[in-house]
Amino acid sequence: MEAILETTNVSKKFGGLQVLDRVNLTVYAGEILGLVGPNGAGKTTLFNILSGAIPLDSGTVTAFGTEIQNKKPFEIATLGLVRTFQIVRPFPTMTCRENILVARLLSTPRPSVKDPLIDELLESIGIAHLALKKAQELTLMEKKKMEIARALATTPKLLLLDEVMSGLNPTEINEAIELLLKLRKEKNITIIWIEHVMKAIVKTADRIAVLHRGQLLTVDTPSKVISDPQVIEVYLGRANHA
Amino acid sequence: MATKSKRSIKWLIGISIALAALLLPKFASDYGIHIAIISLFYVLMSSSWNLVAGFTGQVSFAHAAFAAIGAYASSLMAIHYNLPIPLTIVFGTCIAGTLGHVLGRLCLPLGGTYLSLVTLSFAEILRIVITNEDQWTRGTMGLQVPGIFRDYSKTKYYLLFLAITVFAVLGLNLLIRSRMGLRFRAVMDDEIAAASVGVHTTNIRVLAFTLSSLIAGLAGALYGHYAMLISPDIGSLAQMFLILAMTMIGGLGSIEGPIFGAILLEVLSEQIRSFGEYHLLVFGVISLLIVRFAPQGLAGLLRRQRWKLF
Repeated sequence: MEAILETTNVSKKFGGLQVLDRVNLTVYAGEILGLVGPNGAGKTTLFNILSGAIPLDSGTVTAFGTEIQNKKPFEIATLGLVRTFQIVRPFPTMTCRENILVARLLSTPRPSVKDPLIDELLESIGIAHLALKKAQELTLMEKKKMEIARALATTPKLLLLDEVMSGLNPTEINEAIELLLKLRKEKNITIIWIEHVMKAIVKTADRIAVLHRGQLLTVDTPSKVISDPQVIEVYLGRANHA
Repeated sequence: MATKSKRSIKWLIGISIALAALLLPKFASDYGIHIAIISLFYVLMSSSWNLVAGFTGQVSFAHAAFAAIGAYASSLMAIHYNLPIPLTIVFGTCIAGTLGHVLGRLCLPLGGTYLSLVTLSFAEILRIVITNEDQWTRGTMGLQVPGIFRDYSKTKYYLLFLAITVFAVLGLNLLIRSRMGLRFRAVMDDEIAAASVGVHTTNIRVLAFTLSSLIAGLAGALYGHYAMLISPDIGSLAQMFLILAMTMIGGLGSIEGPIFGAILLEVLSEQIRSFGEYHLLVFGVISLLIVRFAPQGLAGLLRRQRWKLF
């Protein structure tokens, strides 16, 4: 399988706290890789480093065959690595459609105002009826969907999703899972997906990587990961022999 | 039907404003035309400042300074090299644009407060230089500048200012509605999100800043050749805050706002001139009331009544 992203010994300290400690992770083209771990494990920090939002202390990140650890966010986005945010970041004063049109400018410098891909995206994400609504008027779920549509409008090769399921109800989670599987199938996108909703990620991901206190504990198939004693210990604590 | 009739009302209003603007010199006194010209100068200034402040979210205090650069560059060229005035105006505009580009490149990556502080110092430094280099600029005594037209006519100046202002405002309107304008607004709304979808945020801001300085330089150069006497006051912070007040009162981040604000405040300041320095107090109170009760300015108030000029 072809590696699309590779991190080598990626480390990051915030003051005295080692947030990431020599993380070596390989992501293969076409897979959905789940990234899990308790709060403060370093998941979002890893995303921030991959997308160029913060610099790393040491190590390298290679995406699509080029080293990107010194590139700026917009350059990394241009290469085809695009993220969503844990706390949604829409362009609040613009309509849904305009939000997506901005992202579309990346892959097509001169999209027509009636660009069919935008409608197709709005349709497939299920927010076509909101196209002309201001982003600040949307509900959380709608904003999350819009942010995914916006990320997809750049036609990314690798998509980083940061907790898209948090705050959603079970029906919405099922909808979102179907959407992810559809995207992978139709658009041939590789996805790294941070998630706290374990049920969703076990059902959807091809492999799961577990981060704990900045270290990569294991990367394996979902069934193996959830039966891994180390992982159980991280999530449930050590059995207490009193 | 409703939208159709609304559209025709809009056209009607537009045409009447255009007619009134064109016919103004026929009916107004010289003094009236003078006020109109100065209003147009301020429309140019606040519209272009609004491009940076209202559409990319960066507050620059060097805007009046760029007008001073345009005015002095054009005037000095005309005086010392005896070149045709239209050419020196183009020269002054380009100098202001170039300096704007350099200043923007240097301090826009810092962003936010730093940009405001750097531009504030830039404006003060420029004022001090102009004041002290009096062998060139004649300092506070003022520099006498040749006019654009051989035979002085306020009407001609007025029509020139009107044509350039209309051209500039329509240009800005097109720009904001273009794909580039979409990027401007994205950068203002959320810089991090904009970068995450591949928008080169620094370049976008530098572009807005350069264009805005260019227009300020043009406005300053035109003003100089109209007033025929320029002093360091053009670039003073008092001017800057007047432009700021015009934009805020009219409506930051809208095309029509700075136009309303500039005309309103210029006409008003002439009316209350007899109060002397107290007229600044009046502007201060108006600005406060607007910011408190209508943060979108006059344009926002009108928009709430479903009126939209552009």
